[in-house]
Amino acid sequence: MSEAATEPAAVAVRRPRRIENRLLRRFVRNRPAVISTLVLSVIVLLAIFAPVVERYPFDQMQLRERSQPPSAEHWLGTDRIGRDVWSRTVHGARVSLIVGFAATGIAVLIGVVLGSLAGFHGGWVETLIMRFTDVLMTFPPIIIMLTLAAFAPRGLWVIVFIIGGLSWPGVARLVRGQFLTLKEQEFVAAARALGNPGPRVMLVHILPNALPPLMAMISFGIGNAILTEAGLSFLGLGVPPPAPSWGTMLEAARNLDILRNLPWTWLPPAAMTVITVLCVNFIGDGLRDATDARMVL
Amino acid sequence: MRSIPRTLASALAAIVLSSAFAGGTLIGAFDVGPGGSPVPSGPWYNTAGNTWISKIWTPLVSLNEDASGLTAQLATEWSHNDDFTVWTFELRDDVVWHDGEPFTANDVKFTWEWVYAPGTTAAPEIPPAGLLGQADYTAGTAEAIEGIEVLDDTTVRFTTAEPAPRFPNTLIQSYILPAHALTDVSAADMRTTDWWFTRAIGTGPFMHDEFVPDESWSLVANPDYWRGAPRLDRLINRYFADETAAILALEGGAIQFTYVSGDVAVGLGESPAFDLFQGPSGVTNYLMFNFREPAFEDVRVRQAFLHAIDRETIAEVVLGGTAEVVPCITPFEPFWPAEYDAYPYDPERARELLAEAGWDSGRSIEIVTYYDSQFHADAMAAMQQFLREAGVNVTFLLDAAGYNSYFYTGLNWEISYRGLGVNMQAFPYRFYEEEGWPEVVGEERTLMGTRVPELEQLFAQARVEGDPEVYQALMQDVCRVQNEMALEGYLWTAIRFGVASSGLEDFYWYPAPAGGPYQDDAHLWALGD
Amino acid sequence: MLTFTLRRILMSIPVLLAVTVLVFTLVELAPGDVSDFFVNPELSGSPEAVQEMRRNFGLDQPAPVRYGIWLSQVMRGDLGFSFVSGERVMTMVLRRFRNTATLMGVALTFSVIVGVSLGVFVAVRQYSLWDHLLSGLSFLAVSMPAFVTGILALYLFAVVWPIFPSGGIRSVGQAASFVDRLHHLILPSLVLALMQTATFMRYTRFSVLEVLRADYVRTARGKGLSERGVTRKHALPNALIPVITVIGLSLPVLVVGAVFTETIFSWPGMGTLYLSAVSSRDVPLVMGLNLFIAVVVLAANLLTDVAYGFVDPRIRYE
Repeated sequence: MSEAATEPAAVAVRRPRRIENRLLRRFVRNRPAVISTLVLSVIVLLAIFAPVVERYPFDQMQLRERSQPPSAEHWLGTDRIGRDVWSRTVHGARVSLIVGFAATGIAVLIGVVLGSLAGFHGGWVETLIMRFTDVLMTFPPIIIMLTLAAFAPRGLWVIVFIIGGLSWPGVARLVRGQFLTLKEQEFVAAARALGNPGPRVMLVHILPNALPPLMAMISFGIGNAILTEAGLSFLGLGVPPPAPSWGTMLEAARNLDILRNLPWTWLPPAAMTVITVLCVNFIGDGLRDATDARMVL
Repeated sequence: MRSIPRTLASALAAIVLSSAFAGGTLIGAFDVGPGGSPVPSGPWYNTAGNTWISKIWTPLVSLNEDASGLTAQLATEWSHNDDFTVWTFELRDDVVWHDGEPFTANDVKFTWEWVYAPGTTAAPEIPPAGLLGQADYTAGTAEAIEGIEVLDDTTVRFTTAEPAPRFPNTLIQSYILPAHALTDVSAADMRTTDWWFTRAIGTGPFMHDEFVPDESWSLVANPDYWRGAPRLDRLINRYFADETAAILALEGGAIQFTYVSGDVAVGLGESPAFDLFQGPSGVTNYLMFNFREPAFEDVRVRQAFLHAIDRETIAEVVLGGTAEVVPCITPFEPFWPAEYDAYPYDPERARELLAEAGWDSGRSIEIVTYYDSQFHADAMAAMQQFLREAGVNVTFLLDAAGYNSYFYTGLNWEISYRGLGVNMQAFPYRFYEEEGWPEVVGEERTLMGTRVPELEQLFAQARVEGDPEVYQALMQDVCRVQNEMALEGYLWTAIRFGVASSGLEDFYWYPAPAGGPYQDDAHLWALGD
Repeated sequence: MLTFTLRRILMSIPVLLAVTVLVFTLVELAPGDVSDFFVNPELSGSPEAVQEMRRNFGLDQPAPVRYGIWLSQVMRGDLGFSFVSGERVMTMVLRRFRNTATLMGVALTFSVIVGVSLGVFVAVRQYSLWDHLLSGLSFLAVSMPAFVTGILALYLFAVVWPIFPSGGIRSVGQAASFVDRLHHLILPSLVLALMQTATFMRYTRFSVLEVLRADYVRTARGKGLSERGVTRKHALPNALIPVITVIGLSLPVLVVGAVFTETIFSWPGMGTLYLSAVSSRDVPLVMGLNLFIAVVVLAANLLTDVAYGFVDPRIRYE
């Protein structure tokens, strides 16, 4: 933006800064969203500092202490081969959040590029991109993901790319829609009239404006990616062991002995999945409310 | 469409009648767990599920009740010539098919010629030993199989292509089919025909009644069964997608029998409401090393793996005492030599051996497997941890569907965690023989990528050895060689369990590999009060 | 309307083709094929048998040829035979579809009735205790995936307090009865319905609140209609129109939920069939199921649009 400031004409097309402040203020007024942000921050911190907060290495067996209920030694008990459930749950947060953020990052990248191209160019580029988007949107992505996950080699990053690579259509549609709206607005027209090249207009003038509504979508996207990873792992098609994915930990509960006698091994990952997704959804909701209101302004 | 009130009325009627109706019906999950076949198909296409199949169809001989020997079924007695190439079977003369037609030796000949007709690919778990002229017949160059002759209505003579001292043992899954009832079914359609599920006719204690895909297979008593009419009116096999659902159904009283894995079996067995059945699985779990990887050609590396993994603790603790450590591939103690190296848990020794062999500790080894149960998941997690403590990094790759393509065609695996079912009388020679898998591994090497001349020589002798004591001694020698070489990472053999409602009378189940078939006197089974 | 429908159907053909090509390619790229499934890992199965089997299934042909054969079969209304069971794919899919349709039908009916009613209920009581409570719960519900609710439900109502069967669509060994079917249906369908119920509630609430703020509702109020009359006569019919879209678009979500619900409750539906088809690399079954699901989803989308046109006279399709 500092570069823009040196161009007198550009100053006129900049949005007033206080709108961002207002957005923040609206978000802060949404109590569930704020609480969720705090809770999610704690989860993120736990994930980052997992090696510090874990009581034992997440894959360390202590066969003499197998299948133990929660105690002072093992806050959430141990599983059937004596691994500490707390440590595994905390490490599971890493897997979930890596997948959540990375997959959504990929989806946003693809979606923004394709959506911008479609929205800015129009014509056959737009038709091609949007038809392709339609194909992906009409078909339940989980079906393709299941096929991919079953036929591809196993791995954390494979899952990230599968989820990210199939979750972008929503973003592409939204970005294109924003482009179509903003393209006609005065500040864009002004920027173009001043002879700014296309990519520059896209990057500097249109994209930042598309950002607020995108933020809500990113938030929901992270929630979805976390659920998808847990779901694929639950079906045995996700992140391979020994990485302690919440979905894998929950999947173990399909064994009757674990389901009935060791609830402490599968309740924590189930609760963490729900809490994380709940937070992300509340935050997304808060962002949407805040940005929707801005659109009215 | 029926109206709701009518449906409700019939529902109420069903509830009132159900106690009388269920009086003679036993429902079991006979095809849950190892030994069961969740995808039922014709008896010659099932590689498991023989416990159930043998309720409808019958082989000439089957395993006895604890799979320790053979029992006559449609045959009464059999004899062989001196070099075990000609086998003469006397058949029962009092057996009729479910439609009343008499069973004769012609049915036996028909079965072989139908099953091995050109264009079919029958694949029972234990295929019968090859007969003289069978290959030509399948190739379409012969009109009939030379090695099977009907001498009279109750006598049939088999001539095998090479000496087969344990020929009857290879016949246990060769169910005899009715010549008169299959005339309109082409052998080429054997795999896809619905005859098996709609018009099936056999000689077993129960007769086909109704097959509901994904749900159940219902049989009714065969009043003319040659051992005597069954006491039950009806026997139903209920299909469950997983064990948990089956066990909960058993606890809820919806079924009276199911396979259970060891972790749940122990708890259920303590309840007076249930009877626990158990027996050895006949399957050895082991790590197969790929000798195409130079590192595994070094015996010290292989031995280090055995010293690194605390097999006793895994068997006793992780697997809850439901498994026993084995010294070699065969899980049968009579085939173990008097003395062998137990390779006790000794991570220090493992590290030394690895250091001597120049093991690259930065290396990560991938172990492919097809096992997806919690039992094996726990065992694999434990092995991974033990190996890491000895300085070996391994990851397990579970790929149930793709496993065989790595293993048989890809040949680029490093280690495979697998199981080998070993019939006491039919040793799986070909895993160790150069000609066992010619198209896959070429002329020079076996599946694991190496040849062991000493073993090959022992096999050549054992194959044609007719004296049981000499055969046992040869098998012990095989075990000793395997143990010394640590040819594979021999782990353990598991006990398998079945649980039945304690109310049943004379119910019997045994975890024979692939479900047997074994003698279970199903015609005597009855519901208690 | 007719031309719109026809055009939509024509437009979906390339979509369907794209889906099948995509899936066929994925299946092709993976190592292994159905012959692996038949070679029993524990004892038998020879390379000769594998080769023979590959020939029988036509797997020795190059991939594009096989896709062509498959496509021409489909044109003739034939989805081929499953590699694994040897049954007609169409027969298998239709049989499983019946079970999945029952499950989804009950779940959808429940979630529409309960979700929309609750949505209206809380909308007219905006910011009341009920509104806060139910809105909060609905947020929790949309964050609970079917595999979490499913395991919890199984644990609570089939293990700890076994009042429902753990799986299957009915008891066997007794005469078929409606009560028994219902007994088996309750747990899985409620698990499947939970997330949708919450979604429908949230949409209905939002939609009703929007309409209540609209000018024509203010006019109606101004004319002296009672608040109840305004809601029932003017607000509700208009508010429920957008909800129809949400219901129509919920099918893919239900498909996802069904995969998990069917797995947990051993429900012999399309979800479990798909999983087993994929894990045994049963190509004809995987392809047939994908095509079938794609057709159903596209049909549902089309129906939604058509229904939308009927209920909302402002919308005209050309």
